[in-house]
Amino acid sequence: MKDIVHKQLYSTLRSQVLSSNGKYLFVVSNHFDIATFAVEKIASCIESITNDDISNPISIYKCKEKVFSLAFNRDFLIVGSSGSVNGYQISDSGAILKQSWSIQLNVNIESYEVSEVNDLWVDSENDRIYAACGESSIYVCSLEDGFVIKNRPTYGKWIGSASINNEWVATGGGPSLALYHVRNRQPFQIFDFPKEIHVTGFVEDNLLVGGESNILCQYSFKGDVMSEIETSGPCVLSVVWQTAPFRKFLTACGASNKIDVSTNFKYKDTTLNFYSKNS
Amino acid sequence: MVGETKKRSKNASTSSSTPQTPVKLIKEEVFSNAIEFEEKEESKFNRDQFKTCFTELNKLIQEVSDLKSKNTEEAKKKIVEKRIQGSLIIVKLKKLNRLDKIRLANRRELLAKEKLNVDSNRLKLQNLIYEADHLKKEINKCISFKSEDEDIKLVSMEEFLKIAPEESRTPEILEDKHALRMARLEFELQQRKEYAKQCKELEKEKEEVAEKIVALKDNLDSLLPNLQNVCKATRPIQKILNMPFEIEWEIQKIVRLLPQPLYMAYTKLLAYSEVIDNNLSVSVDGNEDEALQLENERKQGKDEKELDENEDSENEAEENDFEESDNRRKVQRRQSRIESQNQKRQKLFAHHPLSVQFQLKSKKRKETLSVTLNYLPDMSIVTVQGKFNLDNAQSVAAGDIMTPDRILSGLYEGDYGMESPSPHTSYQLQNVQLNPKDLSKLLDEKMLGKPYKWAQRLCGISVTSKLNIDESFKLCDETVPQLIRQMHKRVSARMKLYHQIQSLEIGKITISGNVRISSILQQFVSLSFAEYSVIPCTKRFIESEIVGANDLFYRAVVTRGSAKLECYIAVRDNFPIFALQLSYDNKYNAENSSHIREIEGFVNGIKCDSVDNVLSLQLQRAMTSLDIFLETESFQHQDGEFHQEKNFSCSFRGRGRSRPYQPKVVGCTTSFKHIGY
Repeated sequence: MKDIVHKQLYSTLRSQVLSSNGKYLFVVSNHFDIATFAVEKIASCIESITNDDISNPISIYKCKEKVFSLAFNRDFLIVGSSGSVNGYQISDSGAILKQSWSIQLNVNIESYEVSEVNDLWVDSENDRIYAACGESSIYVCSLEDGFVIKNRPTYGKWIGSASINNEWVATGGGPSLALYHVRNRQPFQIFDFPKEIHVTGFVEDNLLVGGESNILCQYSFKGDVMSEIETSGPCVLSVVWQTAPFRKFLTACGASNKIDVSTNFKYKDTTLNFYSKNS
Repeated sequence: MVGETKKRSKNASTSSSTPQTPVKLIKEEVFSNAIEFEEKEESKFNRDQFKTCFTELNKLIQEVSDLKSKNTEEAKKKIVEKRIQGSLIIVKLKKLNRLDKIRLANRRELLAKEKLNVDSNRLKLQNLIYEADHLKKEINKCISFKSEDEDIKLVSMEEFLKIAPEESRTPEILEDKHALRMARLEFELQQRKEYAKQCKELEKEKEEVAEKIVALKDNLDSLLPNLQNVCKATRPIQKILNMPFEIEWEIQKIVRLLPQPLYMAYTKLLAYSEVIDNNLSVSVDGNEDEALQLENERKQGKDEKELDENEDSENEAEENDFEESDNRRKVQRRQSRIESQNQKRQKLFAHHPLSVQFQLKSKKRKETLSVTLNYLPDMSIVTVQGKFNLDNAQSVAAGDIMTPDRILSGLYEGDYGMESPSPHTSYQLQNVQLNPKDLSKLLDEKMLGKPYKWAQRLCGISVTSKLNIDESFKLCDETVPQLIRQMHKRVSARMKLYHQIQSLEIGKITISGNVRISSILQQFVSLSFAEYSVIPCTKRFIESEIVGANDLFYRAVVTRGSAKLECYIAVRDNFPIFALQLSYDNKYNAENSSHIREIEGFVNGIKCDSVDNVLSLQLQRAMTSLDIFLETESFQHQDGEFHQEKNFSCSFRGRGRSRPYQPKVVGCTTSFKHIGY
């Protein structure tokens, strides 16, 4: 089978992130390519219903190391690799320029395999990043000096995703999605999302859930389904959204070559292709 | 008048003092004198004299009347006197009248004379005008005169100035246009004479050479029988030395009768087989006599015309036959139309009596792929029959691979030989009321094979444009090596596939590497495209045109416990593509499960460039992946149906919770890793 055909059929898009100015969307595939999409153009095309070809990325950067997760802080694209977290410089036009820093996580050297960074969370107030690793541990690193501050191993049933706002915590994974109140630490509501959960989030006043299903769901806190977005692939691994500067903009990706875009958080507007025949 | 003469005579007698002459003489003289005198008088004549005479007379009459009224004696005397005076005036009037007459006569005479003069002058004038016109015409004629020399092509002025002799281009001549022209003409004449002379000489030489050639030809002709004799004499030696020259000559003779496209393919393939590929052999098949006849007909260029004429005369004869009943005639005509239609169809599908055949032996020299190229002159396309010879064909599912249709189908992408490569064909078929879509069926009926595009290229026929011979040769040249390579590749790939399917059919799977596979291959059968296309998990391959109706299809069923994995396999371009469907607690495929999608991607992602058993390896991947999927799934749900038998360190990795499908050999054990981690 031709390589490009295989990529189109079987690529998995593991993670995505929006740049802090909201202009660019970065998506990483299981072949460790990072594609950049221009959010502004896509949003304006959806708005004006033009036939411009916006479905392909404006550039694709081939990473030398493995990439599992993406985050963004100030001008840096932060890349979760295996055993390290790296920062890349981004040009004004959204192109990835070069690696500018790298933090090595002191993972268990005796382990059979070097564990990968599955998720990154940036605490921009304190300039810290939280890296969730495959060996079920979370590393907290300071962006100022690059030292690993804490290492907290946890064990147990896997949790695919957790989200928090001022009052509520939502978690899900192998177990069903549950909403907890921060103060009393009791489950407030358990949701009936049928499959494993990879993504949760508070979008406007609803709870967004995605997982091993081709449906991206939004529930009210009471447990009613508010909207269902059908995705291109059988599984959703990453959802990012923003409400400014260009308008509402939400993208979902997962076990597919395609990225689904919604500008109203209710239904799918268009799809983008990571690999296309002429790339 | 009498009075007049009297008076004249009186006058003469009084005026002349000459003695009296005899009367006659005198009379003549008197006349002439009188005439002379009167002519003299005439010159003095004045019209006013009449006036004065009349006034005088009037006056006298008045006086007389006055006197009469007085009626006196004296008056009577005076009247007499006056009467005399009046008579005298009347006489005078008379004379004046005569003078007037003379004068009139004179003037008339003078006028007539003048008129005559004027007439003659006018005549002269007209003569002159006429002459002038004539001269003008002559001048015009001269001016518009065209000399023949204008038609003569002269050497150009520059050349003339360069090469003409010195005396014909002196400055005087060059200044005078006419002289220059004359000089150039003269020069031209000289030159032409010279050339004529040269021409004659050359012709003479030519004749001589021709004579020589004839002589040499005679010589040569007499040589042939001698050479034939020599040939005959050497036959025993040829046999002994195993050098069959004469057979080769015979082949050459047939080869010359091949139509151009086949000839091209033959020569190129032959050259390729002799120089590069020993496993390739080329030959020409077919009826030599027919080909010879066709060639002769073609040379005379009459075949087509004659056919047309025959048809026409038949039609005419039929039309003249009025006595037949209407119905019968109609039936007959319809029949004849059908017949002529059939004839036309047959002509369209008629192939050249000779065909080119080439055999491709596989590297192990057990199997041969033989390919026959037929040329259809009317459609100007080349059709191909393929045949694959196996030593022992017994497998059912595998048998499909080697059918003539399959072995050459899709040798190049999209080239299945289902439609004609020539854009003309569809119109030609419509002309004889045939559906262009049935072309491959019709060709099959006539045992002509399929019009693959590569065959046209091999024979130097371009699908899109007409090529000249050089371009055709180039096209053919480019095609041959690549085509033969492609065919070798196809044959070896198909052989590998054949052997694999043969063993898979009886449930035998060769496991490479040190892996224990717990799932079992239950079934391996071939499928039709219709059967393949109804399966939901194959939809995306058909939709994205990765798989098409011309590919080969199989179904493999792998089971382990309650789980059943169905593999729908399509083989295109030597590469099998798997579509998986897992029946476990539910039905899963790549559309609804990211895990099946990952397994399918792993199975289809195999790199197969130098591997003999792609299909087996893929099936092995599918089986081990099934094992691992079930074992990890079982581990997750802790239901314990499937125990972990494979060696892997962790079950799930990453956001998508991938399973470790990728085998990794460390020492003598195989452990499994996650793909892409």
